[in-house]
Amino acid sequence: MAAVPGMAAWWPSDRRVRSVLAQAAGLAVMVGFAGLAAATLSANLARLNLSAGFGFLLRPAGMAMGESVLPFDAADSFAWAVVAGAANTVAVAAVAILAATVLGTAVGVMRLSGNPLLRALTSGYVELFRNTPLLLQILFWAALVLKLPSVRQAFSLGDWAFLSQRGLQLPAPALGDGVAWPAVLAAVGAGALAAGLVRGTVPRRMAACLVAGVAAGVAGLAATGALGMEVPVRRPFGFNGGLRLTPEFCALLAGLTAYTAAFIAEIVRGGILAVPGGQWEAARSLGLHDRAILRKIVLPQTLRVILPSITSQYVGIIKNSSLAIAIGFPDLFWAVSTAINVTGHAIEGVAVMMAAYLVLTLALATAMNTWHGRLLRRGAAR
Amino acid sequence: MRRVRGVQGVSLAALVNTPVNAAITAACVLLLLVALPGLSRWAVLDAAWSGGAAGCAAADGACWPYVWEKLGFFVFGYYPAAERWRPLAALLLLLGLMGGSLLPRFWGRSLLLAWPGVLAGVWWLLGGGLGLQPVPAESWSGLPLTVLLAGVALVTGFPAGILLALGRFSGLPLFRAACTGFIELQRGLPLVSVLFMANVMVPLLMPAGATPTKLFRVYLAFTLVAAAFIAEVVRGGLHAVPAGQREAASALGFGYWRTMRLVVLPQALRVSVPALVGIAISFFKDTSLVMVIGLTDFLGAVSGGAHDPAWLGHDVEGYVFAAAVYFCFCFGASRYAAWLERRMGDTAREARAARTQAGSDFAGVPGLPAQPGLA
Repeated sequence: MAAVPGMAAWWPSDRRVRSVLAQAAGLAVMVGFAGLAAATLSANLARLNLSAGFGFLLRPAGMAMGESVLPFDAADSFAWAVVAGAANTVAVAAVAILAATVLGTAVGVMRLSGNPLLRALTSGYVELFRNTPLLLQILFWAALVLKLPSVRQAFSLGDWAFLSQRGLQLPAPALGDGVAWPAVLAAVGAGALAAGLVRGTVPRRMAACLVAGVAAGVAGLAATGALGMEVPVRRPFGFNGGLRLTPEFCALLAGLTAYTAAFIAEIVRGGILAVPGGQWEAARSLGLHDRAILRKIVLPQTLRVILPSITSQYVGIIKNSSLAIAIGFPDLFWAVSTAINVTGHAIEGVAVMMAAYLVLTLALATAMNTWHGRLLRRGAAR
Repeated sequence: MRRVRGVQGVSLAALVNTPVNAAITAACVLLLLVALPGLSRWAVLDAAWSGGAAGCAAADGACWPYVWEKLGFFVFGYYPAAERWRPLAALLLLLGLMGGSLLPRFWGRSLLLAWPGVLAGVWWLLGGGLGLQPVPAESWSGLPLTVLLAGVALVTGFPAGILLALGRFSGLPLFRAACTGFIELQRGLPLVSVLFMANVMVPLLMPAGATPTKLFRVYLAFTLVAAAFIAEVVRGGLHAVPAGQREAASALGFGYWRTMRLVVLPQALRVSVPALVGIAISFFKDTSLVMVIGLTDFLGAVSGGAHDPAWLGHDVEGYVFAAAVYFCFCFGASRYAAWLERRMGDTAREARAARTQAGSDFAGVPGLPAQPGLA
């Protein structure tokens, strides 16, 4: 083959040989860099008298956690502190994902409303919250919670829920003795039923019977006093009973929800607009009214288009929950960074942190992508 | 239907034409009636506008003298007060350069040369030396730091991002795997944790005696993350360039680099510009995270100002001011991106129309589809 202009004579012209050579060179550079980094690292560790190893994870942590979903005290190990921090991250992220989805979908649909006032209000919300930093919003909510009235003058909702500078106090379901396991089983059953309904694998009539049965069971338990609602009671310096959401949890939740909902609203709006106008016209000519078209025809198709973007917003919520560090909510990042500061095991701690966040984000992304794949297959089968 | 023209040309019929619509309007008005009086009392009517800290103590509403009094600190942070003209000049230079970069008419080689030049000038203005009093990097703070962090991270992350995108796009399995792994790692980790890692790991990876400043470690972290996000946008652009372009270049005897540099990348980058502006916006917002590892950017200065014992309890006013500043930057940039996208759509449509009219290109050849529009 004649020499190609602009190509050095020593460079082989066979495509396969070239690609092998290029990759070998790339591999050599990568291995070289990794070796250099490892050598510097071990030299530095030896110089600073630092030991490496994950043994420190089993030592008692000796740190106090402001709040924790899982039981935690100072005598527990660093490993358990990381698990408890991860549980807090999952808790706040799960509630934020739920709330942001509901709020975002509602706002996204409202931005397309024919009512100009509603359109203006929701557009203002979206632009304001999308165009300011999330950290600023979280700090703002945290400062605002502290400006709420004290326990004595707490805002109350019919003496059931209280909002004060001590956070949000909610009624919580309370279980009597011996019904904890049946309650868990019933909750799992209800979840499976809901999933079956969503996927359309459970017949409507059977579902109705099951729902009626569960409702009757709950009513029976409530009548015998085994299952009840524990309503918070106001005391001079706090509340007794019920579920307490701390000010830090509330500020983080408000920030994550309001910020992400603004992005989800834009995704939902774009998804609805992406459904071809012919779908609306065809449904109208069949005599459906607008709300039925939206619910039965447009939103199901929208879901298929927007799910990948929604997934990245959900992953973003998990990642952004690490901003908890700025307001002192003990999440995964807080637990690992505190462990590193206390023990000095920076490399192992960083590895634990990376692994933990990647497990959380990848698990969520994989689950969502599986769902998306199933939706696409079902759409193709139709 | 008879149209009733209301205030500012909004059709009243659109507000009340059906019962549902009327109910929606009523709900919105009710919401405004609940929210607006309280907000306006706090922000305007009951607010203190003058009289310093004493005036604020007497007022029920917001304390605006606090923002006015602390403005210098909010904007310039811990930079020596006597030298504040320097960060101001640096800020104006950076903003001017960014403004210039937004206009398609300046896109070209001279802009590529202007960026390093201006950044070097900004470095000199902030750091001193050569006739200016030296200021250590630890004191660089406030709004200039925010803009500089975002600017440097994006400008250094851009070439790295292009290389990563080419690697992930390439047919060579080793490069594809390495680039994919790096990109997904950076995108799967929280930015706070990447900053934290850079802060604790970089000193351990440097030879003994070399102690990089905190600012350098932060730049490194931001650049790596920016490169990963830019790479994904550019990869989207690469996929949008039809394979025929590469094949045609290869038929002309172009090698890989010449094909990419002269044929594929110019088209791919042009398509990616609106998404790149989106990344710039999110990085501008995310520079605020450096506060977590102890640098004082604009948000850090605003939140630090609330600790002044003479002005306790006015943090909300500071955050409202900061939100207004961030909003002006980010909303402006997002409007710009929308404008650019529309303009590019127009250009692509015009080009297509011109092609079809002239009957040239592939438009009339059966079996060869017309080139899809770029945008």
